[in-house]
Amino acid sequence: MKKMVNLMKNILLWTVCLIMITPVLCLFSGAFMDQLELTELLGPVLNHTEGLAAWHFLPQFPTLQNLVELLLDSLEFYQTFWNSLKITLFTLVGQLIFAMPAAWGLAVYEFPGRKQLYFLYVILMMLPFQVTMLSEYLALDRLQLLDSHWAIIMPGVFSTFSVFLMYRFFWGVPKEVIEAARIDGAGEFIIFFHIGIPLGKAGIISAMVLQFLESFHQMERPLVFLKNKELWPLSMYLPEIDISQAGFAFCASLFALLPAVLVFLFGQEYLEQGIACTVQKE
Amino acid sequence: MRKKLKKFLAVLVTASLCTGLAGCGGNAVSQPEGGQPEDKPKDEAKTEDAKGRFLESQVNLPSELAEIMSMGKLEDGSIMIAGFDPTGNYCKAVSSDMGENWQVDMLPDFSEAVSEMEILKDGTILAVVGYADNSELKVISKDGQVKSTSFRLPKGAGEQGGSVTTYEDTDDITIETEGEKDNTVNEQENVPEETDTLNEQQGTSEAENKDASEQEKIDIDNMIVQADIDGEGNLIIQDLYAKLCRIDTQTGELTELYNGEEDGLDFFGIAGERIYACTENGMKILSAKDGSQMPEDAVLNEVCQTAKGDLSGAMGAYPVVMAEGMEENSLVYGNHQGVFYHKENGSVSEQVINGELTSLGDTSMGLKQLLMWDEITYMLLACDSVGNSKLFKYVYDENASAVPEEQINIYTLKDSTILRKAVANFQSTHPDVYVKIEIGISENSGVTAEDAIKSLNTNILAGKGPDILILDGMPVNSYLEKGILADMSGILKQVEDSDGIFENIKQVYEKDGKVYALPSRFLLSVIEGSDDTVAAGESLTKLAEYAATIKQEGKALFYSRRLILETFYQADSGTWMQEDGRLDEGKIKTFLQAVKALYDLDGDVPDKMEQITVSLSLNPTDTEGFGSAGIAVIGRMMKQNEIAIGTLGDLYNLRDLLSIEAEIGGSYQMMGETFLPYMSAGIVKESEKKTSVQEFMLAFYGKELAKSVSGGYPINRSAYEELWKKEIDEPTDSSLAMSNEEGVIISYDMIPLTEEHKDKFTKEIESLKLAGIEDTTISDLVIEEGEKYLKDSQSLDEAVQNILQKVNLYLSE
Amino acid sequence: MKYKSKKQKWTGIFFVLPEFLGVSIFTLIPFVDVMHRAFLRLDGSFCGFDNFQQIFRNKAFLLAAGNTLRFSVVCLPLLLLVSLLAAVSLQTMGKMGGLLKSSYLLPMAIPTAAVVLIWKLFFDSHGLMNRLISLFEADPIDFMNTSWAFWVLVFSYLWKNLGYTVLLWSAGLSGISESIYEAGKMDGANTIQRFRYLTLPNLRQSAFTIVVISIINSFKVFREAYLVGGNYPQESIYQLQHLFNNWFRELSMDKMSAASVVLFLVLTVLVIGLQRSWERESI
Repeated sequence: MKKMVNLMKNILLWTVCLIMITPVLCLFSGAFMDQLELTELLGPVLNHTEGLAAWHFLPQFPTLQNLVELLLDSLEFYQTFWNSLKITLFTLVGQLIFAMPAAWGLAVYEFPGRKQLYFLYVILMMLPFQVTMLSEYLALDRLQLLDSHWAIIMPGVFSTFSVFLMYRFFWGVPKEVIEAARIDGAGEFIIFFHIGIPLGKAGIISAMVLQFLESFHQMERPLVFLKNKELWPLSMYLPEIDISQAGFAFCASLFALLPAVLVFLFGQEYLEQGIACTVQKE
Repeated sequence: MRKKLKKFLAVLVTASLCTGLAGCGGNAVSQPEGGQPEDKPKDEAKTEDAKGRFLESQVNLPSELAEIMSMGKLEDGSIMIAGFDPTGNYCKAVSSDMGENWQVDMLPDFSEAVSEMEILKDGTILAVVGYADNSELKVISKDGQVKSTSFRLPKGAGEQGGSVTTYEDTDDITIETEGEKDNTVNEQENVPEETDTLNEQQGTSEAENKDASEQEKIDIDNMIVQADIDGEGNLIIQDLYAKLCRIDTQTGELTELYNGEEDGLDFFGIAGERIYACTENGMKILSAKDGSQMPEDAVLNEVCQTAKGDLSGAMGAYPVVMAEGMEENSLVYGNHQGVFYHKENGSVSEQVINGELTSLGDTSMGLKQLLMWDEITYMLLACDSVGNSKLFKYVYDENASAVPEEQINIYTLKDSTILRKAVANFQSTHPDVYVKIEIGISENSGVTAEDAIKSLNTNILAGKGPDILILDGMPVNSYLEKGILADMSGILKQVEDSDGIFENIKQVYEKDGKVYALPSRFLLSVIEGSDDTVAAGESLTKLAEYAATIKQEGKALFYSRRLILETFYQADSGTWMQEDGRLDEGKIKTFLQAVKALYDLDGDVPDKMEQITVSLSLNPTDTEGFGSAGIAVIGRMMKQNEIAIGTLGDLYNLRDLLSIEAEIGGSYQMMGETFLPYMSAGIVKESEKKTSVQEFMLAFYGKELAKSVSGGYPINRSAYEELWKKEIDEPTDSSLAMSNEEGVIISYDMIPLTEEHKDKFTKEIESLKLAGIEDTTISDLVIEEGEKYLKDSQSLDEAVQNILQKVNLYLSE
Repeated sequence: MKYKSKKQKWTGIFFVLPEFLGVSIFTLIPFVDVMHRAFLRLDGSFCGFDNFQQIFRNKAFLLAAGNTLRFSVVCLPLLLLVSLLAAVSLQTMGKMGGLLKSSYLLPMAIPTAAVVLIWKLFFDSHGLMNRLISLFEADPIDFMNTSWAFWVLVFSYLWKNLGYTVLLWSAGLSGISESIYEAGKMDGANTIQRFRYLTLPNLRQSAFTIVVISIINSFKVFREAYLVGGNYPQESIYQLQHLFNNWFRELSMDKMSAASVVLFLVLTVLVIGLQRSWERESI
């Protein structure tokens, strides 16, 4: 009986796994197919010819054509990729500078309004962008930041989501350690730098990983705040690739996928750790 | 260990990917972003003093001169102009008081036409007579003595291949190259309406044929494309083969200065001893003595680049005109952005005259010649879109404010020559007002209409909106609902009292006696064909039925799904709105059914065709006032289609239509009692009290503007009447011919328009009661779903349901 | 002591201030402005609760709000449940479990545009899903143009967020010490009972975080819906964000602000509720 259950469990879990990775496999295989094969397979979808679409997970006539076109021919891809990276990098750095201390402050110090502030931050981070869209637009306009990358970076830097994540971790730092440091005469700032950050590393990194994903993939802000096509991030460029250029689209998507995957690889263990430590404190 | 390795690898790969891509990305970023010269030339005067500006005025021209070919400053300080009179005789005129009074003298009669005229400092006129290879250079001295020299243009047969054919006997010159004369040439016929009228008068690529017997065909190898004089009075010319040559006026000796084989040559200008040649690779500076090249000038290169986008050039007019500056080694040049002063090899140009504040900003104006008269005066010779010569004088007034204090902001989604003309006209009568045009979607910017409207809306809400809105393509209804627009009925009443407007059109926009938005022009949707066709055109269903019956005989040719949907949308949508503000389901269903039935008659339109024609209809310049009925009717004549449906954009369209009917029979009728609004405008509520805004709108709907631009019929009745009068009294006599796919030539004569035509047409307009739905959100939704239905990706019911659902959702928001 | 806590107070504020200033400029003050506009007509005059009345009578708003609500009510429990079960199962699978977990994370890394591309491939009426279905001799389903679209959206949400949610649960689970289970087993509790009385209560804290994050992600589904359906998609996937977007374009600031306030209130109530039941600590 137990074995049956186990077997069922396994089948289910592996099926889920399959469902998860199939799209990526599609992207992978599609990126190396040439236009002819793609038209044959996807004709029904693209051109509404009769019949149903099909797929070969191994391309029948593998080609590097799409790869070449992407790496050598498409300026916009590079430009938008670089834009995305730039925006994301700046946002992350900004968050380290602002959000990290804020999370520490909330977690470690008691001051009036602490509860309310935290509560406010939580609600703010849950509001979908559209709610404050207009007012944000007006604010950015007054600051003359519109139509520049700063219009995306600044609001991103002050997104309270990271504060939320990092807070939960800093909260887990043992008070005794801090007290001990204080007794030894360390200033608050030093405590933050030398104790808080190292101990909170996992939480910080997990927040950064999530923020990376969020920043790299965001669409709503660029859509409204950026007019100049040259400033567009990758997430805006990809939808523009017409499906009739399916091979190229797949290849581009694959490359767009890469940074996120790498970041995940790098940060996965921290992600797990990060939350674990918080919980362990219970 | 393994974890560490994994991490390390991840970091390494990420880093290398980033640097690699960043490297390439870096290059992409550092590439020049197609800089606009508007950024470069800083108007230093503006920032330093708030006062001082060149004011524009028009110089009165002697009525004897119908067209001016050249102007020049004489040593004694008077101005001389030369051209020809209404009968084609050449004459000159001199004025010593800057145009108050002119002394007109006839020039000796030459047997052939003069292609170029230049005026020298001492009053001598150089005239190039004849177009042929062996042209003659006549040097006409101030007192009328003529000396002739002949010269030969360089042989050019090598480059272009084939020969150039011209036809004598007409004032119009036709250039055809051997090769195909197929339909594609003719599709261009109606496209740029405004330059077309200019071309019709001066004649370019329309294939105008008369009977071969009436003409002599002269094959010539080369001709002069542009001519100018250098500082020493020598003639510098550009030929057909991108060569620049100097012709010695005494001996007729020709020296080649530049060969454009590699870099091409669009046009050139001369300042003193330097020739500025605008080529494909930037502005080349050459010595007028020997053609030696001088170092390039970055600023001028950019000027050359922008000039490439300028379409206003026609015979004798150029995107940029140049002249010598007062100081040594300086150059003044003028384009539609203004007049600029540039020190050779300087890093910037100083904008001396702002195009936006003057007629220079009128993109339909052709610039012919610029002169820096003295430190405070410039003279500009130009011609408008119908070929009338204009002479502008710019004088520096140190007390006028550098930028007029009062400013009007006008917002338009797409650029429009009509708007630019309206602004230029207004500026010339109101030099104390600065009218700024903001364009929502400029070429190549990739901004969608939706984004543009979003930004506009935000600005309006923030209180930073424009004063006047050009409403074409905008959600007019929502603006009305939100009370953004002001009531214009006061202004309109003034127009009504002085000129009259088409009441029936105004009524469509009147709500409780108030009018918040009104088109200044309109187009008509017509169906044309045999009597049976026209009878069937009464309703879409009848048309679909009728089309089914004639399916055997021929086919209705519609270029693309999008076009057919748009065409019928324009014709039918006026009837779709119900009282409760929702769409009428039955009407939508009928609409789709009828369109599909008609579409299916064609059989499968290959998708490639779809691509071409979709881009045609989306191109802004192409569709400005585009009268597509013209093409459709021509198609009928060429037996490509039985039914012709399209829009009528102006009187020439109508004339085409009637002329073809005279040839092959048939009649036409308006569809759906609908007119298509064009160039609609509204005043933003906050600005309604501004007098300048009111005056602008008065002029916008006024007679002067209405009759001087083309594209749509004016709502201003006086202008409408005058346009008819002009056509009836002075018809352009010509005939057109084209060959179909089999090479068979079909021709027809343009019949003159009569009072009867006018009465009938006017009555038809007056009977129109509905406006096509302007709201682009609705039209986009309908057309999108419609396309799917036509492509058979969804059924009729699905399409109807989708349309209803989406549009009603939109309306309920 | 007093000196210390005063210093503490100020230090705390000092740490928090820069962030707070930024948040104020870019989020808080704009939001207060929105709240303010909710009570104004378009020309700036005060109109009390008129706007609120208007939106509750507005068909589009009701549809969008209904859809958004429906979506949350369907998705959230589904996601939480499935991911929890998966996390529990994976816990006992060691290395293999770790590998599976990583694979579950993959969808989150895929950019929206690519996701939409795959969607089109699979869920088009001529798409790959229908091919699969045809293998079972069933009728093809038009996913995108019928209310099936809703379920496609649900599926997409689950697919994207399962991995991360599993991760969160796993972390939470690993925080529960083995000794509790030992004790439970000794007391004779079976698997299910152990789960119900030992595991669940200890997961409350994680649950709060997870629910909050999942709600945020449920709003992000708008991106896919927008890329596939445009401004006026199939009825069942027309969400509040679509409406807001369109209102913005149409200048309906009065309605937009009122709806924003309503949304804010709903979320506030929700969070308070969650905090009360699941978050043990006082803050």
